[in-house]
Amino acid sequence: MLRALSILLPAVSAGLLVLQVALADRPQGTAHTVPTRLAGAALALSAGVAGLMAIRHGSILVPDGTPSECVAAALSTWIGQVIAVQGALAVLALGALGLAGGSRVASILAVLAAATSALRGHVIAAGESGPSALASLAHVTLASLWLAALAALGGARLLVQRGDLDPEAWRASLRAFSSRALPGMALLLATGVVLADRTVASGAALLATPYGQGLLVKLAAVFGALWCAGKLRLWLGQTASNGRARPGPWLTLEVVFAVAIVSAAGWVAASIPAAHDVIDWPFSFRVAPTAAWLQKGGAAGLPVAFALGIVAITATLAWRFRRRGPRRAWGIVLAGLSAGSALAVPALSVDAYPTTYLHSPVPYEAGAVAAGARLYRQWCVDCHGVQGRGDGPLAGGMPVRPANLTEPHVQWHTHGDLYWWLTQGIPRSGMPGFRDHLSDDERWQLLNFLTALSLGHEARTVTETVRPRDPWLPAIDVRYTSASGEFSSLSEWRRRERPVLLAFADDAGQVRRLDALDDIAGRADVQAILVIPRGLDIAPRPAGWEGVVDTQGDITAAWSLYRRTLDDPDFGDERSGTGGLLFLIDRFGFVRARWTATVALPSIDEIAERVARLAGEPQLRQADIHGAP
Amino acid sequence: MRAGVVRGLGAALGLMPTVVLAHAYLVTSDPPHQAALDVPPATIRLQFSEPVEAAFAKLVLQCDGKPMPGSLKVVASPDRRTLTAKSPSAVTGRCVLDWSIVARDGHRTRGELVFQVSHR
Repeated sequence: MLRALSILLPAVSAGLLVLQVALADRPQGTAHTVPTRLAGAALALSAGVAGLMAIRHGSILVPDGTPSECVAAALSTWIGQVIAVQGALAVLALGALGLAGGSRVASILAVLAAATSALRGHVIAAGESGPSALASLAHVTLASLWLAALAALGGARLLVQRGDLDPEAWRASLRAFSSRALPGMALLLATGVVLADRTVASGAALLATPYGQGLLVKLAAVFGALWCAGKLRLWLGQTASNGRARPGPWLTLEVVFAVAIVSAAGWVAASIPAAHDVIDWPFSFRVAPTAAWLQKGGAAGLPVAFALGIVAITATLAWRFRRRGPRRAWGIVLAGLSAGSALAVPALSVDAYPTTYLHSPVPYEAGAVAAGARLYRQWCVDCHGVQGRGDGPLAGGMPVRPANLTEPHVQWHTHGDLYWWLTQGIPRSGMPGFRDHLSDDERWQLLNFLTALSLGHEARTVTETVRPRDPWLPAIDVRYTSASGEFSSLSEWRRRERPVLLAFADDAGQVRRLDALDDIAGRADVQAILVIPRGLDIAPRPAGWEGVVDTQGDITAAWSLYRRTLDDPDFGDERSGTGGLLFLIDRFGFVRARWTATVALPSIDEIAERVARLAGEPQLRQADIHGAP
Repeated sequence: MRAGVVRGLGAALGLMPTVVLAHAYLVTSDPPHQAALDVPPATIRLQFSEPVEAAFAKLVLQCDGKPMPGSLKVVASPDRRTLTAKSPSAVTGRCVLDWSIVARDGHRTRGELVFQVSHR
C-alpha cells in the first residue's frame, strides 16, 4: 500500500500542478487555487509516506529497534537511501510551490519523486545494469507521467462539470494526450515484458506465485485501462454535431483502472520475485508439449491434429460469413478456438502435483547420490530390484508392475513430480509414500541416485569423441579439499568456466598410465583431477594433476553409475567401480567424452584439441538436473 | 470433493519446509549444505543470488546442539553477493548455521546450512 502511494501521490500532485499551470496560462485566467492546495497536500502526504516506509524498512533490518533506530538503520541501506531521496524530492517540490511560478518546477520534482521508485525495484536494487535497468527506469517514469496526465485530465473534467472550464478546451487537451499516450503505452507494455522476463522467468511461476498472480491482475487492469482509452478515442473521433457531448463513464473508469494498476504494482513490488519463489502448483496438470510427446507418443498427436483441423474449418467458415457481420465471424472463430483447445490442451498436458516445480535443496553431488544409493538398497529393492529394473522379489504381487528405473522415462518427469510420488505414494499402484520413513533431504538424495541411475544407462553412448553442440549428461559434483587445504569442487571449476579432466585410478598401475598425460594442466586449458581410493599411494603423482582421496568411497560409488558402455553395459552389475575411467567435462558442467580402461588414453594434443573445440561452444543448457521437459 | 481439495492443499502446504524458500536465494556455500568434512572449515562462505546488505546479516552457528555466542562477523565481497565469515576453530559434530540476510531489494530471507565435522 505504501509503495503504491509513493508513486501515486507525487504523480497525482504533478498532474494537478500541470493543470494549475494550464489554467493560469489561459487568457480569462480563472484564479483557481484548489489544484495547488490539493497538490500541496499530496506532496506533504508523500513525504509522510516516505517517513513511514523508512521506519518499516528499518524494522526489517533491526526488528526490535525504536523508530529512530529503524530510520538510522534504513538510511545505511540502498532502499533507505532511495526512500530518503523520494522524501527529499517531495519536500523540495513543496518548497518550490511557495515560490512565484514554482508550479512548473514543483511538478517536475514531483514526477522525479514518483519515478525514483524504479530504483527500489528488484531489477535495479539487485544491482543489474544495462537494458533491464534502463527498462525499469523507463517503465516507472512512463507510468508516473501517465498517472500525472490522468490526474490533470480528471481534475479538468471536474472543472468542466462545475462550469469553470470550456468543454471544447478540455476535449482538445484530451485529444492531444490521447495521441501521445498511444506510443507511451506501447513502450510501457514492452518494458513491462522485459522486466517480467527478468523477475518471473517461467509461465508456471507466473501462474502459481503471489508475484506472478499480482502481475496478472496488473495486466488485466492494464487491458481495462486500454479498453477505456480506446472508447475515449472513439468518442473523440465523433464530430460535435453527431456525437455525444459527454465522454460517458470511460475517463472515470480509466482512473479506477489506473489506481488498480498502481495498487497491484505496489503489491507485486513488495513480494518476492516469482523467479526466486517456491511454486506451489495449483492444478492437477501442466501444459508441457515435449513431456506429453515423450510420455504419450502418438496418442498426443491425434487430438492435436483434430484440433488444428477444427480451427482451420471454423476459420474458413468465419471468412465466408464475414459479410453477415463481424460479430458472427468472431463468434465462429472463438468457438473454433475453444473447441480446438479443449481437444489439444489435455493432449499436450501431463499430470502435475503441488510439488511439480519444487527445486531440490540437495545438489546433484557424489555424497548425495551415494547416500541415495544406500537408501535405495534399504527401501526400494524389494519391488524395483537390485538393478532398478522393476523386478524385485515383491514385484509380481503388485497391482501395477513397479517402474523400471533404468529407463530414460525417469528424466521425463520433473524432480518435483518424483518427489511427490516418493512422498505421497502412487494410488492404486502399490507404491507407498515415504514421508514418515525418510526425511526431506533423504528423499531428495534418493532422487539424485535415481537420476544418476537412469542417466548412467543412457551414458552408454558416450565415447571418446565429443559430439558437437550436444551437452546432455550433467557431471555429478565432487567436493574435495585441495592440497593447499582449500575447499573446492567440480562446480567451483564450472563457476570459473574451466573444463575438467576427471580421472579415476584404483591401483598404482592406473596411476602410472596417466604419466602419459604428465603436465596436462600446463599444456591444455583444463583442470586435471585424479580420484584415488583411501590408502593408495600415488607418489610420485603425475605432474599437473590434483589428487583427491575418496575417503568415504562416495565419489567412486556415484561416478561408477556413469561407467556403462555399449560394448560393456554390465546390466548385471557384476563389476562396479571406476578404475581407469577418464571423463572430459566441459566448462558448463557436462560430460562430453569418456575413455574407459580398455581404450588407449588420448594424447595431450588430442585433449587440447577437444577442449579448444568446446571452448567455442556457447552455453546450450543448464547443468541442472532438476528441471524436465 | 471440496474437502478433498482442501485436504490436498493442506498436505501440500505441510510438505513445504520453510527453509526451501531460502534455498532460492542461497546459490552456493562453502562448506556446501550437507557436507561431511574431516577438518573444521576455516571460513564459511555464502553466495547469494542477489546483493545483500552485509551489515544486517545474522549468522548463528550451533554445533552438536551447543550454540556459539553471538553472530559471526561477516565480510562482503565487492559485488555484495558473497558473505564470508571466519569460523570458530574448534567446531565439531553436526553444525547448523542459521543465516538470515536482507537482500539489497529489502527482503529478509533466512535458511539453514548443515554440515558435519567428523570426530578425529
